[in-house]
Amino acid sequence: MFHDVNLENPIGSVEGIYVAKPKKVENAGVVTSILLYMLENKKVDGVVTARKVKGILGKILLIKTRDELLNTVGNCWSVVPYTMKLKDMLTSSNLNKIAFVGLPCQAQFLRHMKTFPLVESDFANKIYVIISLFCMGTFITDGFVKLIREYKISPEDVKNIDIDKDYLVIIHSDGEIKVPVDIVLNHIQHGCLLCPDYTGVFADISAGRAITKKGTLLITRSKLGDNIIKKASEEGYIEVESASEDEITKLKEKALEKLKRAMDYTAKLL
Amino acid sequence: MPSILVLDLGGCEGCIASIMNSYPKLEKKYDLYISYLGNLNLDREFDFAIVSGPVSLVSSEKIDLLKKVRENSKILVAYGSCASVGGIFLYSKGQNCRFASIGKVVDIDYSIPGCPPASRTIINFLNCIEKKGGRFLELFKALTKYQKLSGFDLIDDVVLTGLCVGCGACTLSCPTEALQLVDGVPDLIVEKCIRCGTCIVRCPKFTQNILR
Amino acid sequence: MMIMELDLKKITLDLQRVCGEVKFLMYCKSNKVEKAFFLTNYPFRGFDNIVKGKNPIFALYALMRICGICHAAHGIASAEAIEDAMGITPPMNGRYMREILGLVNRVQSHLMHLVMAIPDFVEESKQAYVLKSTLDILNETHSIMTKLGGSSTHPSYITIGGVEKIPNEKILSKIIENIGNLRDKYAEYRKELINCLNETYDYLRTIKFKPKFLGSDLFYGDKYSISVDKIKLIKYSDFHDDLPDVEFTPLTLALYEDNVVETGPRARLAEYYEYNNDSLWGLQEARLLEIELSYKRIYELLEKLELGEPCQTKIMIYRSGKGVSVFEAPRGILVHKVVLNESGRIENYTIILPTMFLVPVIEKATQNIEVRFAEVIPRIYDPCIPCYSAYTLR
Repeated sequence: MFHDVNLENPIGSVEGIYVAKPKKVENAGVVTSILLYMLENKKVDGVVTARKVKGILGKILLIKTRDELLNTVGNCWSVVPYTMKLKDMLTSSNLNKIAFVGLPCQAQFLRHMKTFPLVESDFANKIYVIISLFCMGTFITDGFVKLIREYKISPEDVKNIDIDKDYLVIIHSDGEIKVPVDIVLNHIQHGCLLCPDYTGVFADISAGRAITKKGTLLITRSKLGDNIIKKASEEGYIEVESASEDEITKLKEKALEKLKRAMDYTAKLL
Repeated sequence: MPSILVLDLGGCEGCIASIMNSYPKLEKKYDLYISYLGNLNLDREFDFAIVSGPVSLVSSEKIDLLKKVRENSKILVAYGSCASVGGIFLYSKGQNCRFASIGKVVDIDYSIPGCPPASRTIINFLNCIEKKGGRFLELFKALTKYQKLSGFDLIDDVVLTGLCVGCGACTLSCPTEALQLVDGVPDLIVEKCIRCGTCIVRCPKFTQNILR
Repeated sequence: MMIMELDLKKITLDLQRVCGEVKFLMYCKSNKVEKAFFLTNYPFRGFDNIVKGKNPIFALYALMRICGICHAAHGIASAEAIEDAMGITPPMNGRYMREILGLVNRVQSHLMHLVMAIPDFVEESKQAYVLKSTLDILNETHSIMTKLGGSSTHPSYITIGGVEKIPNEKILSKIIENIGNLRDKYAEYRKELINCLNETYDYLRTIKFKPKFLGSDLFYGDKYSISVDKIKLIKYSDFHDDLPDVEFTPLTLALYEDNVVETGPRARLAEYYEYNNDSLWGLQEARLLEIELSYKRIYELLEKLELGEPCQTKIMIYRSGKGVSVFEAPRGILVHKVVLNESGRIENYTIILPTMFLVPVIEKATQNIEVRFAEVIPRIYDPCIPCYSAYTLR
């Protein structure tokens, strides 16, 4: 069962919380390693994920091989829409077990589609596992690009984006800059300000940066998700340890932050 | 075993046919009363009544029947787009031809749109009820307040109000491919929308809003 | 005939196990039916008014939703009528795909009818088993419809100008393989079914009933092999001059050259397959045979598809025009007629449905039937009330 967030529990239902590091393949992230484990061990026939095209923009891809997968890196910080083309790709192939990687909002509707296929044209029966990335919100692309240009950075040079307390850390080819979150907030999509879900409570596995130590935080929410993590670790694709109390507390604080923001904003809207 | 009444009030019967497909699974856990099996009996009480099709507002017989079903059932589910959100029958015109979603005539407990909902939906729905919960159940409950939902509402209430983040849920859900993303923003091909309501029910922003 | 003679007994049956609901009213003498009335309280649904003033594309999707059993038939008939009015034709691939979708739909419909008819003529001890194996084949047919038409009910790929897409090579070979297996599975099933039949089957075999037949084609429908102008619509209340005093939804019947004609599986097979079974059981047997022929034909047509060639004429001509189409729906002749106004929108829409032909046939067929078997007669004709109530003369 997948439960919604609330003030007591801002991270939803949990099977296990882990901190993981990639092991088998260098330069690949934990999520990529898990996907690789599933592809190489025939747990899934394909993976739907986003690839960074340039700057903060991305493109959705259906991936079937190891090489294709290892080419997709980095997070995009803009919603990469699942388009009609994706539906075409899925219905016009004999792929039957697909792993989806997306944002909490996408995990929500995929879970909905999987549980309640409201129309027969749904490809819900092809969804095997849903992986969600943590999300603080996504940017209105143009506004954000203008903002970083003010810091004399070209969007093409952006390597990674992260949040560190009250600052947004933009890592680019020549170093990094810190932008106060208050300024950044203006460029977050209004819909995202309404969203209470930081971790992606409808995914089988949620993944994001660990706070207290280096590594990736993994939350599993179903037996399926938990088994995948355990097997991926047994097969040596990732290294896993249970998350510390401190880590979980910090995670909840961060999730609560987004939830409260959403509540404030909803109240303002109504 | 809990009893289920399946009844079509005047739709295309596609919803009944889709439920019939799940019959081998359903009969293991439920007593199914459905005209396709020939055991429809409206003079008893039911744990669930799954009603599909719109209710004809010119037929007092159908309105009375619906009220009777409401009285005789613990949980009444508006199943399929016509029963839950009106579907294409909202376009019906003429003196002898007026239809509405059944929520306009009686109180309903859950509202499940879809044209028709795939066979698995009914099974998962009953499972959720058995396990008492889940957010999607709350969603179907919240939907009972709405007697009309469609791609038009999606555009008006989510896209034009600026709440859309462009996740693509609606385009992937539309059975007639009436929604396309133009530069990351959904746009409705109006002549293709058959008012099934699937897109807006899948929209994370809309659901977050109605559940809060 | 005066039906209120004192020795006539009136029996009203609320028929179940038909699509929709039927009030079957019979006047009986000793143990035989003298006269029957096929009435319904299903609400009239006025699809002509729903599409009036709309864009033809909407009309197509809306009209498909007349019926959840023979959806593709309505979709195809509607698309053909609109194309006729616009003056466009689909490419060969589109034409083949439509025939395939129409036939898959025919199998879906016939099997769904079988699901409902099982208690009529299958021995009680074997009913549960037969029901399960019927649903099994039906569900597999549904999944083929999903792959070919986009959805197993209301297939969304049917569109004006042809179909939206045809499967690619990989998917296609998989479907062809599935159809082949399904065809064999069905042949087995049919053999088994024949061994499970009960006394109703024996009775129906002895009753000869052969009205005039109307069919236009074995598989697809051909508006040139019948004359659409000779189809006459008549209000149910005008057809009978001795209507009983009960409430029912006023609907419309269809006659051909002023005759009551049977349309559907037996008529098609009789005219184009040299099928010859004059008994009432012949109707069901024809349906069982049609499923077999359909699987075979689908298999052939799938192999005819030219991958890489277009499947849709992507031109929409918004202009005034009139169009007619005749399609062999699961239950028989289905006619859609459309008039487009100057901006290409629907000005007028007429739908002639198979059940409009079948209702007077059913009433006639029930005459002189033993009362205990009477309920079976309307059902063996597989009337579809959602369709029947979609259009009426005003």
